[in-house]
Amino acid sequence: MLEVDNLKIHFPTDDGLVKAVDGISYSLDRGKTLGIVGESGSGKSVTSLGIMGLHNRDKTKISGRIWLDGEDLVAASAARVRELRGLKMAMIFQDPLSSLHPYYTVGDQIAEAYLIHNKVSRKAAKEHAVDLLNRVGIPNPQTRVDDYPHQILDLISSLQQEFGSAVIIITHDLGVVAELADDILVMYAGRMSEYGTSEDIFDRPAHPYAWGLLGSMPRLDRARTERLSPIPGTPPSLIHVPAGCPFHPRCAYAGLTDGRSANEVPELRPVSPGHLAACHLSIDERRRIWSELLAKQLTPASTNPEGEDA
Amino acid sequence: MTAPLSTPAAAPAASADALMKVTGLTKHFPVNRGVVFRHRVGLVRSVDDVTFDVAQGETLGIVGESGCGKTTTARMLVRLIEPTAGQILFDGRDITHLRTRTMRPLRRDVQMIFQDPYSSLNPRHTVGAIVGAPFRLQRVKTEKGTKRSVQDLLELVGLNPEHYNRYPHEFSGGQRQRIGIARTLALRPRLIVADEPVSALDVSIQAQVINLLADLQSELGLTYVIIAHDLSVIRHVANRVAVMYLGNLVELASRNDLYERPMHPYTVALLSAVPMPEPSKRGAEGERRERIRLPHPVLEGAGGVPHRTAPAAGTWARSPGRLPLPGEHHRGVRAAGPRGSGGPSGPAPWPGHRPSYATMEKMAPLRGEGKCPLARSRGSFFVAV
Repeated sequence: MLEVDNLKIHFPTDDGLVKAVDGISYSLDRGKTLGIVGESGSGKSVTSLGIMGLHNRDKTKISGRIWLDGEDLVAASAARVRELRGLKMAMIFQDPLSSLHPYYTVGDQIAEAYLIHNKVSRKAAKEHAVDLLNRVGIPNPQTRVDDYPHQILDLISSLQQEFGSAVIIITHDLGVVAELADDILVMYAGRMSEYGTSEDIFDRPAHPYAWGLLGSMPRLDRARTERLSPIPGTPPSLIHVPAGCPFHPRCAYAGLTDGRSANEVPELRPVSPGHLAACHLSIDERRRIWSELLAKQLTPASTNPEGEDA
Repeated sequence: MTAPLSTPAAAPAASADALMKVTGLTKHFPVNRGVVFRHRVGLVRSVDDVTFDVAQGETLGIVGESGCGKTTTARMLVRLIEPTAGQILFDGRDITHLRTRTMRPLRRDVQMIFQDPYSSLNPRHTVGAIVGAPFRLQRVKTEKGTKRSVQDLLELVGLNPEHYNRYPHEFSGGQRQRIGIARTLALRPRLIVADEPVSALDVSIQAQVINLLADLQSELGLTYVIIAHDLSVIRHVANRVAVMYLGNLVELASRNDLYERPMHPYTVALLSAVPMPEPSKRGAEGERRERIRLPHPVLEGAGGVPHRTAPAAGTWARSPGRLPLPGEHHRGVRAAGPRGSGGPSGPAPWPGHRPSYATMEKMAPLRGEGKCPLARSRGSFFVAV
């Protein structure tokens, strides 16, 4: 249904070319959910805004192909993308306080899109908006929508089942992705670091970046560990992406590649069918390191300050 | 290990080494209407009769949804908000109503880490000025001079001391949070209240800051009150955990007890809502774990709440050592027995440890009757102290 092929989104700025997205490819079928994870500045939001056609075309260089039901959105006119937006694709934004206009009523804001895409009267559009609000449980909330994201997530997946939509969920919360996503794309510095099913990424991650993300996360489903193992440093600037593997300055295993990490951009290669990773380490080496790391992550805190049963 | 319900030998009194002791802390915000004739139309019971203490050297976690009063509690602890009622003892001294000037010397001992590393640093001040501000305000002269001390602090929190003359916008979120932490540490406080210290940060950076806080605690012997809505972060950092709901403290227990044997239906509901990063256990057809519905406090009434919806409700009252449900028993005491080896007679596992009895000092049925919380009556379901 959606196919992204070697998508690049670059922003020319006074300081240099910001390569926010630098060669992303994936495909997504109807009814499936793709999770895109990565730190801030890894290009995950820019990718999605690119699919929605929400970048200013004069200030953005977009190349590659985005196929939505056989139609290329990169080549399509802005007017055509606008027709499709809201009809075939829609976006839920991060911040509900800034993504709704404070001046217009919610009913008007919901009816607007319906009115634009359907030849209906304003009254019919309003009625439709009321139906939709009912559908998401607004006027008489049976469920409480709160800071804990689960109810929004449940709502999204029930709507997904109802409409048979494909969903892309962008977050840095790995727990959320694990619950919802069929496939996961891990992005780093605008590139694909790893791609696979949820099970691939969570149970058999094959890139040091994914190891770092998983090691950073305290987990309720496992015994408490002594320490978290964070990724050192911060994500690179997208103007000066490190040469070679963009992750190598933060990678603990870069030394094992005979300097290739620093000089050679790793290709995205299959680890197992459907599971791709861009890393210079050999597959066997990565399997070995991951099993060591996993053993460490499964070791409960040795000194238990509670002195109580662990 | 069935322990009979018994009356508490003594309501766990302030252990001698409680650094901070909070009794009946309450904050009500008036809701006013009218421009010319301003009049009070209601009262938000933001924090209602909350009692706990913080032992020297421990980390107390406070969790709850937004609006449960955890931030208000934090701000009262550091005296940024004036409590409506109750008492805050710090190191045996009553600081509840100290005035700004009399509070100032105590600011050296009690400091706060803020949630948002963007708004909590003045964009027009250099890092040196920000981290050095406590020295200036408290008129503290350090041996090596302020600049050197600030650079030491920057090094302590993992920043480059050469960044002294840079401005906050030159740093990433994680680095800014480190700057905030350096400022907090400047005067070597004994108690640090951290309000959502990592929730604005990326996962990888969260882990860096969590480890930093742990290192500083063991290095400097700090005591933390850490507020967060992320239950997995709290389990990682806290020795004891307090759960707040609608301004009330509903459960307070040691970390292991709270996560392995949650006693309050609300805690059970919260735990059920945490997304689990285990795709292989999701089950077929995308089926997910059953979550407990948390009813809306305004529309469904605070009185309705978790005990009706919790699936464990049936077994709750029956299992030995478990808390009776509100409405079924009005008073009850949970014996220390089921708590395992950490009972009152066990050796103190860390200095200043106070076993969490989770006895019921007060357990009143809710009298909310489903009214809007503005008019919510004072009763809470039960407060475990």
